[in-house]
Amino acid sequence: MSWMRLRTWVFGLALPLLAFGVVAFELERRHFFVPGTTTDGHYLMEASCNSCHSPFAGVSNDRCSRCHRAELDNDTHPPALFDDPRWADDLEKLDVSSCVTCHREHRGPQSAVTVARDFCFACHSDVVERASHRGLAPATCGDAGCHNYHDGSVLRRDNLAAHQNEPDLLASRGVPARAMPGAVSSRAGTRAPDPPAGLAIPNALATAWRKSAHAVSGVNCSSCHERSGRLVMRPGQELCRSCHAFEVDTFLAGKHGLRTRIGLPALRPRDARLAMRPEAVAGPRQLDCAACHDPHSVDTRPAATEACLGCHDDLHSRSFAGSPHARTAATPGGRRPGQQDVTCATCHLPRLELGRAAGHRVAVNHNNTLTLAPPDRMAAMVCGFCHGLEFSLASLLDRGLVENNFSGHPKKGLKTFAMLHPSAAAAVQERQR
Amino acid sequence: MKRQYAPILGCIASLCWLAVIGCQRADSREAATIPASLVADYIHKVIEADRATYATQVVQRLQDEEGVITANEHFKENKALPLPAQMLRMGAQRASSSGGLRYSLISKWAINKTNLPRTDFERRGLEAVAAQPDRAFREYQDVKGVRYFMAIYADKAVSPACVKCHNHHSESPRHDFREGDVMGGIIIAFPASP
Repeated sequence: MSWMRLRTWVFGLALPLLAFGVVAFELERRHFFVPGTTTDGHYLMEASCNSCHSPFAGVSNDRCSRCHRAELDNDTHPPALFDDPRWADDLEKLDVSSCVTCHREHRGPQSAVTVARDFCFACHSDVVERASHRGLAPATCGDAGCHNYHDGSVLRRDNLAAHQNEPDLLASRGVPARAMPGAVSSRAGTRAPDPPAGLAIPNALATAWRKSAHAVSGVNCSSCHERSGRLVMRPGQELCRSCHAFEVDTFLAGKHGLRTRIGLPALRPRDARLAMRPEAVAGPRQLDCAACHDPHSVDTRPAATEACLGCHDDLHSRSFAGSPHARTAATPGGRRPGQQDVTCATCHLPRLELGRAAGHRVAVNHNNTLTLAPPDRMAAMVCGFCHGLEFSLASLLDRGLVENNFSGHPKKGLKTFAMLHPSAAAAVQERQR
Repeated sequence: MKRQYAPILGCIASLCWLAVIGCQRADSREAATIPASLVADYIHKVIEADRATYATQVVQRLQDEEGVITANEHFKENKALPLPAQMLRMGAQRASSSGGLRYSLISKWAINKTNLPRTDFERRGLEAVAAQPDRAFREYQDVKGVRYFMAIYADKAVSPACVKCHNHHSESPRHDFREGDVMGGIIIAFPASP
């Protein structure tokens, strides 16, 4: 190729391509560089390449654990365990010391685990020699609520035995009672709004605030709308965090807050892969505290269901209104959802008892992704407040029941419990009949 | 002027040279006088002492003698003390996080199947320390191109709590342990060259 011809190619094609690449990268249009369809879990952050990839170093375990640390608290296969010469032969078969061995990205929306389904057999092939597991296929370890590679705390044998023969609906049920963060202020009860100069407040707003938990705890207009004598019209979630740190931090750890946490523009309904209501997609709503919570009325009932259904339009969400769970919340039980009211938030924003450092208070974990998968986590963190473990797991593993928002009973029992004890096997057969 | 300082500069240079030579000799003497087997012995002494202290002064005392708190393998969920074996494993993971040293518990009768012997060296080592508990089983092993010094030490039931737990656990394959019995081994491994 002559020099003139080469120069034509370079200037005519390569340079414009390079310029396009640089401009696309800088303008946050990085999905041009995504090599394949990203999983549902990472889709919302695919424009932030550096959140996962280190330049010229691939994806390290450290990058994964920045977001997934809380989920791996009880990891039974931590990568550090295998950093030992005694595991060298096993790692030759499957290098489980690296997250990306099993979790390759950009392979499709549902492809969270990208190795063959019989991957457990690389090390645990002897299991089928046990009398209890004889005849089981290698690809079924994770089926039917049997095993969870990372966290066996729910599905371990003694825990299952402790929950064996529980009724579908427990006699004593209800989520823990929630406590308000912080102490009630000495200014509580004054209930006179103190708007900063230049801020006129409508009567309806003042009335809503007077009845609110904010008024009771002494959070007045100026607490949020005034900073160093200056008017702040739209205080952000950093201000909310000054009192609600756990709630904001957990919100930022879930899909709703993820984009904000990593420096991308806040999530909007139009960004989602799940079906969203047309008006939500067309509207300007961005996911922050105020998207679900009215800071003036501080009534969590709309935030617990109406706010969710104002955007989400998938089959599961649309089925909620007619579900048995919705009926529990239909009875008026005070301004805030009661302990036996089941709302969207009951399952997707679970209540947790925080430790001594946080005063043993019960708080709402706002990480909306935490209980979505695997099913045993939802069963233990949420369903177990009202339902037996077997019923919970069987329901969560029944795709039809998930879609119709649990209107009915699971079609199949769980082999897990059947393997545990003969009496459990009889119960499973009875249910299948 | 320059001549005046020449002897002083000469002295300083000589002292520096002597210091460098001295340090080199000290380094070589250090490297030559601490064999890998002794390093492993020292590490084992610390592990064994910590483990025995935790088993007797924490678990045995608080659980079995004073009844203050129980030790349980699901210690987080049950708000209990970790078992001595779990303490050792957590410490080992912390120690290995910066590379180099690895240690773990292994046993033919492991409750946690992760701790079953996995290599021929481990199987031979467990047989050897069961037969002669006071003598460590040591070998150099080449693993994927890296030369490791490995040693296995007998792991004995140091308190009634060890015996009680292993004899009554549903996942335990052996139920007739007595205090002082060899229950398995502690394996220590580190690269033969830094």
